[in-house]
Amino acid sequence: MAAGLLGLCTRRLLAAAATRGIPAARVRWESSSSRAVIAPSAVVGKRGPEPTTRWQEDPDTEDENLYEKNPDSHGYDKDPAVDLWNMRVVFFFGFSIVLVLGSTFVAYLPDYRWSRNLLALAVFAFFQGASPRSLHSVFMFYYPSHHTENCWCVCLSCCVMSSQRDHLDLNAAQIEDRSKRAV
Amino acid sequence: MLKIIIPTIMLMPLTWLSKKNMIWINTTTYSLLISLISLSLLNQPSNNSLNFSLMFFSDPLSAPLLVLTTWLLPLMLMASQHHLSKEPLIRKKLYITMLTMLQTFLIMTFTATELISFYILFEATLVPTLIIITRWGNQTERLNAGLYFLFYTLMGSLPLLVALISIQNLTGSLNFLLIQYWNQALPDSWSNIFLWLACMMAFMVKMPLYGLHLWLPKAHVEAPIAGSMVLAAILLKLGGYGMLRITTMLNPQTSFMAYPFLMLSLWGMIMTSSICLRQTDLKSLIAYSSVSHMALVIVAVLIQTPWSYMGATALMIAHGLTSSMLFCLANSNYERTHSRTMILARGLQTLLPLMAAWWLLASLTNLALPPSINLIGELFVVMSSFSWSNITIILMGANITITALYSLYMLITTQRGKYTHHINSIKPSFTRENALMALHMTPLLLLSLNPKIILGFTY
Repeated sequence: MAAGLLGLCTRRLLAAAATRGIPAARVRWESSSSRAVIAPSAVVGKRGPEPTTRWQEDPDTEDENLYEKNPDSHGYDKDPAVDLWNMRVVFFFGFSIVLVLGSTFVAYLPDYRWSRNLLALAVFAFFQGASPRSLHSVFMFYYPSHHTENCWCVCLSCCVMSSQRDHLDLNAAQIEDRSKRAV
Repeated sequence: MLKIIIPTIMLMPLTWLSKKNMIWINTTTYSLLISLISLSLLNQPSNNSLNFSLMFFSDPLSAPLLVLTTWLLPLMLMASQHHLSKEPLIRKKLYITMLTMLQTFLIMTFTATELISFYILFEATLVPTLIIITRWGNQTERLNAGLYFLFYTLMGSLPLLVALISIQNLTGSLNFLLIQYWNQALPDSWSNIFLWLACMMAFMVKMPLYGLHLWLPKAHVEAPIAGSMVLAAILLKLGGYGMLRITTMLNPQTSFMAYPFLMLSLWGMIMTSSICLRQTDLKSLIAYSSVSHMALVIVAVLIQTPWSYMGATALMIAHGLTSSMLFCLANSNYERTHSRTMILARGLQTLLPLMAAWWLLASLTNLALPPSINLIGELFVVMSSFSWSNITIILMGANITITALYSLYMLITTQRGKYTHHINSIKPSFTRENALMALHMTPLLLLSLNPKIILGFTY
């Protein structure tokens, strides 16, 4: 096994020498357990290096490595000061101002669809002949946190609406029509 | 609306009057601030629309697209800084001017009230895009790509001009705000069938519909990074937006005229997804992926149900961000290897692990992983198409599977495995690139928490 491993290492060494063009020592290895023989290639000359520059699709580029002159480059500009300020501007305005403030603004946008639905429910209930107490409970169901603040306002508006409604004489179709128009 | 349009126009004098080392900083800063202002449009209290003037308005459909447009300009500027670094100063300023001009036209297109104004601005967006592709593209094929892009869109949209003038004669007004209340059905006649075709073909070409999509891979591949980003993220959505607007006045023809285009889209999404599996060019793969996703949007718009409209709107926004991010990732590869061939830059996860994380996130959102908004859009479209016809689930399911296949194929080819011997000297990722990816992904993830703002006017 040791001989096999040694043979393996020799093979790798000779192969590496052949590819890298290092003039290998003319070592010849013969196996003692088999008739295997490893010898350097008789071909003169080394294999050329792998192509690293001409495989590109648009080869007339001169890539400038921004990290070479400025190891702390952020990729915006060659000038380190401009590069730094550009990075700061992008992060400040892009993340801190627009994303943070903008998403806060969007998150706190009122849900108009919900409020429109609530209004439709309340108006329909009103024209159906709901009492001020039941109208009040509709609002308070959806605004429990505003109970103490708006209690009087809602009660008063329900009373006013119901007194106005009592003077109206509407059939079911008119009630539905008024509810739809109200929202 | 002038609070967005005028600052955007003023970005042009800002560019030309800024000092050499301040052009990118100034333009990026102010374009980010403009995108902050545009977020105010998401506050839509009315059931109808926000009417700023007779010329401009916004509603829950156009507001998210507008925010996406304004958000994309600073990202395009950041992405372009490296490949323009060797250009003369005048050309850098000209490039930024083209981007700003395109941005202005796009903002005005999405907010136009009058259909003729919308048409003029829709056509006007072609000019700066063409200049960007043909002047700043990298290979000689860019000229052919520009021609395909220009003439496909022009040929599709010239009948639209004739149709709009005809409708103006018929109804007396082409204002969106009035047309949505115009309940008169189009009489069933041959001329109205051609009118339907004339109105829709421009947007079908823009989306693009499979069969009219040949301009897209060329234009996306040959364009520089900012051109690819704006094409994929916004210009394709112009087609979807136009279709959503114009179908309100084309009933009842849409119910039977839509069938061939629905079939083309359903088949096309499978075909283009399958083509993605055979692509060697990374940008071409992402371009065909865009065709596949937009085919879903076409299906959704033509089905015309509330859920399909929600899916179409959500998918447009989600795809805009995802596709733009994929092009930025491809560009980060291209800037290092100067090749778009995928197998030439493989095993990058070992060399650039953070960029591999962005690749993973972008691929996962591209294949509509829950709970991203990509999934919400696709799911709504799939559900509404199943409701329209049960058989479509087979094609939709196949499309979702193939989308997952090519997204993972792209991820594995570029990131996994052993890296090739010639790329072990590539430069590490820049802060600019990581910031760019984060600025794409963060809104995408935040929208997953609150998707109702992108679900359009049928929510």
